[in-house]
Amino acid sequence: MFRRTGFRTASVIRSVTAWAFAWLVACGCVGTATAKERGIEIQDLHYGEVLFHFYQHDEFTALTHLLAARQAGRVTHHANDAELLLGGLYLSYGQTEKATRIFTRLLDETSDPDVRDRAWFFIGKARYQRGLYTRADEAFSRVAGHLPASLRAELHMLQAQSLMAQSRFDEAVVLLENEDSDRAWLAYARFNLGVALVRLDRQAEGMRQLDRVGRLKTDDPELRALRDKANLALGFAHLQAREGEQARAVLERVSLNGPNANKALLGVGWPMYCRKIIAAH
Amino acid sequence: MNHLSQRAVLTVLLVMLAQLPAWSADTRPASFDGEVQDLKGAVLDLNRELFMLEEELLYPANTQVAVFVSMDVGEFFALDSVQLKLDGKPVTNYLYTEREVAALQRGGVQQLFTGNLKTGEHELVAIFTGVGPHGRDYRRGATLTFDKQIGTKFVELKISDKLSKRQPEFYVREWE
Repeated sequence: MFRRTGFRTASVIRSVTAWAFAWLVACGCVGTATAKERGIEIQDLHYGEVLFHFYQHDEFTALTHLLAARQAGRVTHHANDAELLLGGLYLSYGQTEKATRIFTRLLDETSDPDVRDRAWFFIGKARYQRGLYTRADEAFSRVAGHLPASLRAELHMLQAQSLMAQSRFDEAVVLLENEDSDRAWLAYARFNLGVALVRLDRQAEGMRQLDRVGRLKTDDPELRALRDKANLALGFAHLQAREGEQARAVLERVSLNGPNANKALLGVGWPMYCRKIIAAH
Repeated sequence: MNHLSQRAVLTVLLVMLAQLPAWSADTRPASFDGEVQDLKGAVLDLNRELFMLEEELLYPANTQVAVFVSMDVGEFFALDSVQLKLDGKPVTNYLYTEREVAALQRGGVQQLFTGNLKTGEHELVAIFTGVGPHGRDYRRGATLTFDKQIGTKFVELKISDKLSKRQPEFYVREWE
């Protein structure tokens, strides 16, 4: 019976990993800090108009409008920001070469530490997306500490993902352990790390990461969905380790109204059913 | 075609297929990635050209007028809709989604209306509706009389918070 549960565990963990990675790819969103966060007053209406689309995750329209505004000379007051945004949008649209050219040019032309940090961050992200992990690490290490909070969280997530892609799990653990923030990016990184460690039979460490995500206190529907996924993966990992009671406690944390409710209920049912079978014999 | 020649053709096709490189996501040549990037780049360039052409044809620079909406903070006012009248005629009634309001609050600027106007004096009236302080329905107007010259005219409708009175404020600003 548990052998079958073990099979299901692997399947569930595979599916949740795929889901998390799909989210990260789909969300390959640019992740620029908002104009308000950075205290930028809009001086070119058309730059603000591009941001209006960008903040709604309509990257293609934002990119088209930015290219048009740039050609018409309507974003001159935000030249560096517009270039960074353009590079980031190119990146989210899979135009890594164009994006890298823009960031490299910015690095050559500006000494502003904010702009340089963001350029290095995006160069690292472009390299990460192309699977050049060591070169991505190198770019990330050039970020000096002038990134806004939202990008900093994404940076740590990308660093952790890059380390994981190189099977350097211990370093990824250290990196994420040192992060106190529960920002969405880091939660995803912790989730991915937890799943990877469980699949490597490093159960205790993996479970610790998943448990942290599974205890997130949040009202954000996206993070609540991730929390459910983490509890589901953790519950099935406990089942695989034949820890029925712990599995039940964790699986009971999964929302009954979510898409994971059925799997969680199944997970809760297995150990109860097994106990009944054993008692009957 | 008899069976023998059919089989011969099939065999040749199979041999040709076997010669084709088996590309997976990981092993596809670098040029493939380059080709995809070139294709996407061409799509973007075309889209940009069409977008600019559309604007030039429909709203020539000499007569163009565009109205933008922006928001500063927005704690005292939850925007529902904006009605715009130009020289007494309603030109747009726009109902906002939560996502659009969030984009405005983060610093985005919406291009609410684009049209054409003759040179001379014109009156623009914007009526904002939404929920104001203490959850009360709120409806306010802002008016601007402006002189349209030859060349594009940009007008910004700005919603901001007046902290001293804990009330929203509505500005209309002309841009050159």
